[in-house]
Amino acid sequence: MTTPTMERPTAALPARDGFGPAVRAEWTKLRSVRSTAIMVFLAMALTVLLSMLAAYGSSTNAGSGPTYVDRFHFVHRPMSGDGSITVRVASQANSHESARAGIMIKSSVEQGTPYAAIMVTPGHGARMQSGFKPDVAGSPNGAPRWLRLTRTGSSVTGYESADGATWTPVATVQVALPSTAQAGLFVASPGKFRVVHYRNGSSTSGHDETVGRAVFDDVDVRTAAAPVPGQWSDQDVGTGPPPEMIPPGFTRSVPGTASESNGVFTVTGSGDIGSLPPGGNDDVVMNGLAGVYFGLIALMVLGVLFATSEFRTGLVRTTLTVVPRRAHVLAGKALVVGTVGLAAGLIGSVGAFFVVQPIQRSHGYVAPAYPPPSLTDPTVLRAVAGTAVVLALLAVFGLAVGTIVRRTAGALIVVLPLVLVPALISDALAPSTSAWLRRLVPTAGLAIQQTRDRWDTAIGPWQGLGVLAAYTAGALAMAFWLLRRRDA
Amino acid sequence: MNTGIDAAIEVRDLTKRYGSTLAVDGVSFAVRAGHVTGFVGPNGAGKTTTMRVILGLHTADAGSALVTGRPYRTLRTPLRHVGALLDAAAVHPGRRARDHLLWMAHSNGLPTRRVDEVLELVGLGSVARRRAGGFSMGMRQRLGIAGALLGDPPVLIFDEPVNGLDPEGILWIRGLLKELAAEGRAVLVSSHLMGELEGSADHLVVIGRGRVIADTSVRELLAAASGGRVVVRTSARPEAMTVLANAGATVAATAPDMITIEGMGGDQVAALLARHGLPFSELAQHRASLEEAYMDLTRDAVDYAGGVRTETVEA
Repeated sequence: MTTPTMERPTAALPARDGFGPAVRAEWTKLRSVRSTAIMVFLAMALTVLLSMLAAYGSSTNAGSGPTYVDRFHFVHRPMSGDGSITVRVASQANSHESARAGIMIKSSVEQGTPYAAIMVTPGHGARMQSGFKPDVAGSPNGAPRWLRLTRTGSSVTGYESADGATWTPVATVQVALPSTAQAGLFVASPGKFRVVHYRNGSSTSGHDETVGRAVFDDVDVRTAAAPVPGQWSDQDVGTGPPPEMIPPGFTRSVPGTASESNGVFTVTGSGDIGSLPPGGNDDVVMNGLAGVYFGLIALMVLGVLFATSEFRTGLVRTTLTVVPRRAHVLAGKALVVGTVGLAAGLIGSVGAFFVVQPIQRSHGYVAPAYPPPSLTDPTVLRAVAGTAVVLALLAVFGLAVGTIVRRTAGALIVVLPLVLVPALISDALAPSTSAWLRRLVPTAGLAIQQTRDRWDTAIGPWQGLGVLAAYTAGALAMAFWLLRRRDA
Repeated sequence: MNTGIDAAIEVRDLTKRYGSTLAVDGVSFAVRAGHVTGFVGPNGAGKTTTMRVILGLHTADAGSALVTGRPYRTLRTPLRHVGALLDAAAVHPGRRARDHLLWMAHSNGLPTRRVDEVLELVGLGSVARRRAGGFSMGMRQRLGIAGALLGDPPVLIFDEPVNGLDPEGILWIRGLLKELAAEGRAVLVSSHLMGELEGSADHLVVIGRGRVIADTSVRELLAAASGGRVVVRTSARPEAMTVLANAGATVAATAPDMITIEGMGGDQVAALLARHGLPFSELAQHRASLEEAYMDLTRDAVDYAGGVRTETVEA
């Protein structure tokens, strides 16, 4: 090679100073090495593919059963044509805040047939209900309370009263009743949800049956003006869950009972009346993004490498020589790797969101229990876009730890356990310990994916993201301080 | 604080300590525009530390280092003021040569065309799109030099630029250094081998164990190192040595028919030998090489003396 000829130093060479050039330099660095493309591709591919895998392994039985619940103990007698039933609920045991004790006119004693009912509850006052639709709320008063149902053709009006003299209508409903319907007293009490965690890490959820109990007096059934004579009969309408469906250790159902003495009826019963919750309890959006857990590792490693590769090669000295303002260097790196993380995260999470939906549908996640999620739903949008924010923050977190530790292996030993250990051991811990662990690690940020309140929720969506943001801000602050202070 | 109007780099009483190790101990020197200043000393003498402090990478415990009159870290587009090659191996192996220069250019807002210019300048134009991981040490040195030249700076700092170069590359570097100085730039170039700088440096700062041993022009150093030594070729070596030693000179046999005399002028040696009738065929004032002068200077300053090669043979 020949000795080159230098042109004379010229003033014509333009140069520019500031944060903008520093960011552009870091972007050029990031895009010009292969590991970036590999890590970004891995982040997106792992997110989508592993989310698909998780969806293939999922299943639900929601949607296969009835959409209503119709189970209670019924003390009844036939009532022909128009008429009314009046009763005083003298007392009601507080077996459940939504336990029901009241009166009902129902087509038959078969489960699911049309009915109109008015009742009191220990926690939610007087209510009227028909057609397995949501209750119409009456006064906030519970027992003792006077209740009355009046049938006129297919119209049934419910009343309540404090003294049996002054009556307040609650609602009038249309019910398709036969000419002779069953009128009478009923008691129901729903099960209480409970989760049992075992030492081996597994857990079981189920309902403990509760038994409602109420005392009725001043029972009066009449058509036109005449009392209806006749014999009372009683029975359970509907049946409880079969014994094999009740996990060990949970309270089983017992049949309801009724007794009468001098016009005072004491009735016990379990169950509930109404529509089932609109969907199953699985968080399909969060489950559909399960692969992110592995995608985030790739992006965090990208962040780590973006810092440590400079220290490993000594390139950091060139960097700090050409940009002596070290805050610009780290801020530029954080901005660049965070933006790449956000973009990769968005592609991964939006991709996973759409790709898993047909799989989830084919595994039983269908309307009405699971209406298809839509990005126009703010909660769903928060989950999908928030996932990208989590990946961006974790990439910056990796960068900060890489800057602090300076060695790849050392930095990975710090960040990977923070992410992986909670996932691996939290099931083996006591439930409260596990919940605390999941609140305190950076991956608490994944709570942003929650679209439902579930019993196993450890931390709220925004609080979780806040935990991750705090980790990132803290690590970044320490990295700034050390980078400024240390000899390069 | 400027000592001279043309001091491009001015180091004053610089001290840097790493734990209990005193790496640089009160070093002062200046690098002037239009000169190639050699910064020499054995490995571990403090050259690299001094350069890192000059470039604002390390913080001095005491003293100061100014570049064009300012602390380096206050420079805003440093590539336009100072070009530095610190460690040619400090490139990401997965990054293409051109991209390596591109991010550097972007960081100071330099135009992209400048990247292609310096690549041609150092002779890497044909491998611009190859990844630096596949480069030989010589190619990496050229890439590092290209980075230093990016901003067309008036001050250049090269740490051991000759390391790993083949003879052709060494010639190239020497020519480049001289040319850069001829264009009016200040060039500071370090080496642990004085011979590498022979013919290119015109001023020398010699450093050993963290202290400046000599700060002098090459000519003065050579004159000082050669002073008072006379070489004589004689067939009567033992007799000549006896005669000269008795007369008070320090005599060393350096070859079967050659002696070196210290502490006595050439004329005196000739007269003495003639008076005793001893034959001699050659009498010369000894001319030290730069390497020898350097060895004399640094003999006491070498940390690990086992590997030192000396050219004088003791009698």
